[in-house]
Amino acid sequence: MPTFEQVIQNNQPVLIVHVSLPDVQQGNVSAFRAILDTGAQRTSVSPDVQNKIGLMPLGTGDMRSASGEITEILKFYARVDIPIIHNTPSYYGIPTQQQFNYGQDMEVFGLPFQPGNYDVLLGMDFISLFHITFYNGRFILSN
Amino acid sequence: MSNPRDSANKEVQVNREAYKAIQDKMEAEHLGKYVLMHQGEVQGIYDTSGDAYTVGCDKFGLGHFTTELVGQKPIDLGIFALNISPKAHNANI
Repeated sequence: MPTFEQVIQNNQPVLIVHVSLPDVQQGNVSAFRAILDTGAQRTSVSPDVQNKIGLMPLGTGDMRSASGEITEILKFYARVDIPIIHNTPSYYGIPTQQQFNYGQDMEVFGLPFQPGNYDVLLGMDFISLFHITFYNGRFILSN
Repeated sequence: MSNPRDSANKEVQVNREAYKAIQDKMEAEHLGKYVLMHQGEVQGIYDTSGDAYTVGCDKFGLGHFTTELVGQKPIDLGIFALNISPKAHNANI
């Protein structure tokens, strides 16, 4: 798999992900701002993602809130991919660009509020698909 | 005509209540499996969420079924989700 590399802006590992209904269905694919959150066990999506993709709730999950209370939140099933642009040198020496999508169909949880600067929190269930390196103001994803 | 999302939320609530009534039995017999539910009844038990989702879509259509992971523990969504409160959750459903 090609390597994905991005500059860390404002000390937040932010990237663009594609979210869609799972592979078994035909549906819209939309791009959303996502943030890597190694403190999150699971991946979650904002109300904007739920509405734009047409996700339907698949049940609920129990989430532990800051105060320790257990709160029920909606869960969904979606496909989440990181689009990776890869420059490939051609026979004539002119680089061509190819896009790879790497991700999986997965359960995601619904954030009951709309965050200001991201739509997807990528939790460890997604992050653990990759090798991740933070180095010199950049993060590098590969597998 | 009812909103599909409202109908799906109602299905979630009905199935959640039904699952709570059988939760102990399911955890004793099917820990770690995924239960497919429709209109308050168990429709099947599967090894993965993907299997349960695919069968649910085929048999009932998206928004007309739910899945439960047997033995699911409360999850931590990290520092960015710390402002989730029961009040916010109720507004969402």
